[in-house]
Amino acid sequence: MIRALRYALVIGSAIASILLFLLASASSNTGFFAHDFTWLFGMILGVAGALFVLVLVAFWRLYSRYKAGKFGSRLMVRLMVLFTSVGILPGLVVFMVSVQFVSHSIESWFDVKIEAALDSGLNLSRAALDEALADLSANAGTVAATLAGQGGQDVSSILKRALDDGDGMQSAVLVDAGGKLVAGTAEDLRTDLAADLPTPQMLKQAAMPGGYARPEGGIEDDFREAHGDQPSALDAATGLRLRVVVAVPEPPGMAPRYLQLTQAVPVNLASNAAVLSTAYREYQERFAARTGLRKMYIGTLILTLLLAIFSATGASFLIAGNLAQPLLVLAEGTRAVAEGDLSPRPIVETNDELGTLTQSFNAMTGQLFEARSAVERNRAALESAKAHLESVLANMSAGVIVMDADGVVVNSNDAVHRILQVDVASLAGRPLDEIEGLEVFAGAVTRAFSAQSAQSAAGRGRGRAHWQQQIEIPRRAGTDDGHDLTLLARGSRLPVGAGSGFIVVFDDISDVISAQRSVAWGEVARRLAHEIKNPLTPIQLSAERLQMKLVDRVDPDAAALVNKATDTIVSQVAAMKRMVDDFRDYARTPPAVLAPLDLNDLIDEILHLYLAEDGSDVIHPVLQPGLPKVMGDATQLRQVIHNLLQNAQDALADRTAQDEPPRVDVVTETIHYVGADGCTGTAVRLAIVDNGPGFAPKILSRAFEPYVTSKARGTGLGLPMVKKIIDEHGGRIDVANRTDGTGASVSILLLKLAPEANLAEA
Amino acid sequence: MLAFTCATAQAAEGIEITRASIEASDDGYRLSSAYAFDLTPGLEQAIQHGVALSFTTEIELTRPRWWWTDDHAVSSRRTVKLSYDVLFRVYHVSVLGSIQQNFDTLDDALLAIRRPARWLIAPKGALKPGETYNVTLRMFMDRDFLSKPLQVDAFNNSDWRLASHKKTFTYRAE
Repeated sequence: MIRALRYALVIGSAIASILLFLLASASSNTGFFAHDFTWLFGMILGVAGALFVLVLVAFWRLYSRYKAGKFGSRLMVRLMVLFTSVGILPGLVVFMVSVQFVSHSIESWFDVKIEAALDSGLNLSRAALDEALADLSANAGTVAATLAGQGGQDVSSILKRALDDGDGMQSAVLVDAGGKLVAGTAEDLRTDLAADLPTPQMLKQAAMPGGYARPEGGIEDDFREAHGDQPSALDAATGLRLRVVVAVPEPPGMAPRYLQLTQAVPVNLASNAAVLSTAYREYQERFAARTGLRKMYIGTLILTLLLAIFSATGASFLIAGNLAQPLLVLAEGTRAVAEGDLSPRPIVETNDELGTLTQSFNAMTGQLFEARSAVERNRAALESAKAHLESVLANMSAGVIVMDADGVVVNSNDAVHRILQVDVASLAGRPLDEIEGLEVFAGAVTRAFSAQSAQSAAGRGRGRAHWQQQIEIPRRAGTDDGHDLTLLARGSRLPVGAGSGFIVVFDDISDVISAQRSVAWGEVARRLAHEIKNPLTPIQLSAERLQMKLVDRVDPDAAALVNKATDTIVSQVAAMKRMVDDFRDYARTPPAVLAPLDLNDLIDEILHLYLAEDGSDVIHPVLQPGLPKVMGDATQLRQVIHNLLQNAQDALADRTAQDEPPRVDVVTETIHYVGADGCTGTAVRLAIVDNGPGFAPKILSRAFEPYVTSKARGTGLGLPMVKKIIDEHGGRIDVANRTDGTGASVSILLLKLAPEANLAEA
Repeated sequence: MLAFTCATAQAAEGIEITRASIEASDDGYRLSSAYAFDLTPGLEQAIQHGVALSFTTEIELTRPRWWWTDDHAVSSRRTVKLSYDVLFRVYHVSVLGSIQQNFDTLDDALLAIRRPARWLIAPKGALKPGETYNVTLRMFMDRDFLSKPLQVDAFNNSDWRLASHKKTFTYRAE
């Protein structure tokens, strides 16, 4: 609830209380009431209306919040209903009882018996007055009869006697028809008789039979303010008198005269009559006002009830708000915690359980925060460990495939893609044997696992949790590099979760096989050369001896045959010797004698033999000046360059005219690289690139194996020789076809530089 | 609340101002007026039971001024009290500060109220001769003089409501 509404309710209730007090006072204070009742009534109605509007506003706010499902509104509504009913119900009960009470008690004041008694009393008073009047009238008639025809002194004496006869007589006056004083006498001699003469109306009435007979208030009472003091009974009694005016029965011929007698009413009769009449009047007035009185009381009660209800409702708003506040804070807190906000909540500053609750709530969120950050730290550590593991897995050269119990690939690393030439993304979630291109691999793996299972079931091979197998995978048809893959695969069972899984680690060992092959070849060649070379010399010597001995003894025809055959044998033996030497050289290359060497000078020297310097050369050297000196054996490197240039020229040999002109580039350059230990190193690169047909795919993968050649004539030892020499020099050699498919490229990297070159570099 | 009372005053009926005029006399300006009304049964019964009723006549003379608020030249009220003496069975009619008249019958008493004597509303110099004044005249049964419960009752009881509309006319002062 907004603050303004709160204050308005409190202030409104306070004003209402003050006004109610005033109203209650006003009911008992006549003077104040008469002036201000209306004003007060209106004020209270206004305040009640204002309170009503406030309560309505509060209700409307609550309802809209409830409707919107706003948090805490239900609790507020429940508290509200509770408090309001607690406030209103007793008020209603008191109100009902009061209304009943007021209605009945006011009615009970007015009683038929009292009214009848008052009426009777009034009638009694009137009767007493009437009787006194009748007596006075009779007396007046007698006196008038004696006055008839009398005049002068007699009149005065008669009047005097009449005054003395009656009890309480005040005056006796004789007037003529015009109302003028003829004669008169009074009890109190100071009385001015002329001031109290009968009026013409009285005379007119006196002329009628019965005359004029009236009780009078005596002293003309002044007009009094209605709310002024009422005349006391005694005041009224002193003034109360009877007046009788009768016509004097004059003999005919005389002017009419009138006699007026006034007599004071006995004081006790007068005062009692006055009291009675006052009481009667007041009773009647109250009787007439009883409806108003009831209205007034009930109105006051209703106003009180309204104010009480509105105040109670307002107060219940305030109390409910205050009670619900800490709960709302807590609820807000729980929601914030649910959303992950663990910041401390504002604490409710009370000493009761609610304050303790918020404090313990804050303590709880604090602990939660601690626990969560610990979990976060653990998770981060786990994640980094996992990331590390994954990066290790991804960057290792061996392919790793993890499968579940059904042979479905769960995970694999990049090396799998590199080795098996399959898309890594397509592996996950598919059984291994359904992946295109991996049928052979999958079959081998499955068989290996089956065999291992059988083995472990048979109880043999204890302690061997894995198998190891070499798998040959034929290249898929249609791809260029159609050489077979040789994989060394290891498989093991893996406990993954509830079920078991398989892990296969494999490596491409094609290069290892190739190296083994060349080593084997070298050994074969060495032995073969040795075995073959031994009989060659005797064969040659024997053939020459045959020629020498036989030529002179045989006829010329036969001599020619002998010569021819002998020459053939000798030349063939020489050729075989050369071949055997080649094999021997390959198998037993002398160790390289490394010395600082300028590669550019060496290439220049060699190219002199190939270049005609007349523009028709196919060899184009691009030599980087200032090339650092390398450590190398000049003789062996010369052979390398010769072999490579020879190969290039051979590749360009059978070109037709429509082909583009043959071209061989010889390039040297300095290479800077980052070594495994993090230091930068320098290397010299020599590349020989031609635009010939390039290597056949079959040749390319085995180019460095001996006796692999594409040429019709050739031992196939050129490139293996080159490779061997470069290996001796600690360098790298790489053969490849040019990326655009035209020609081959051989690149040699010499890593060992002359010490002074390194120094110079540094 | 104020609006409420105004509304009842406007809506009230019962008293008709049949004649109203202002006459200039030697001692000042006098109002000569006559009213026509009958007491409601409730009022009549109340009278018979001795409850005093008061009739107030209000008159106001204003002069419109275009440059300022109206000039309230004369504002005067007079209350006539009608009561019945249950003991002597006499009706009293009295104007504040003047002599009380007695009447035997209610009709006679009411006649004195319906046709009151000319009433001096303003002394001689109160009005500027030649100027035109707006006169507002109203006559009503004055509830202020009733006892408090009767006032409350009179709030919403038509028996206790007796008032005239405001009669306005212009008077050119002499």
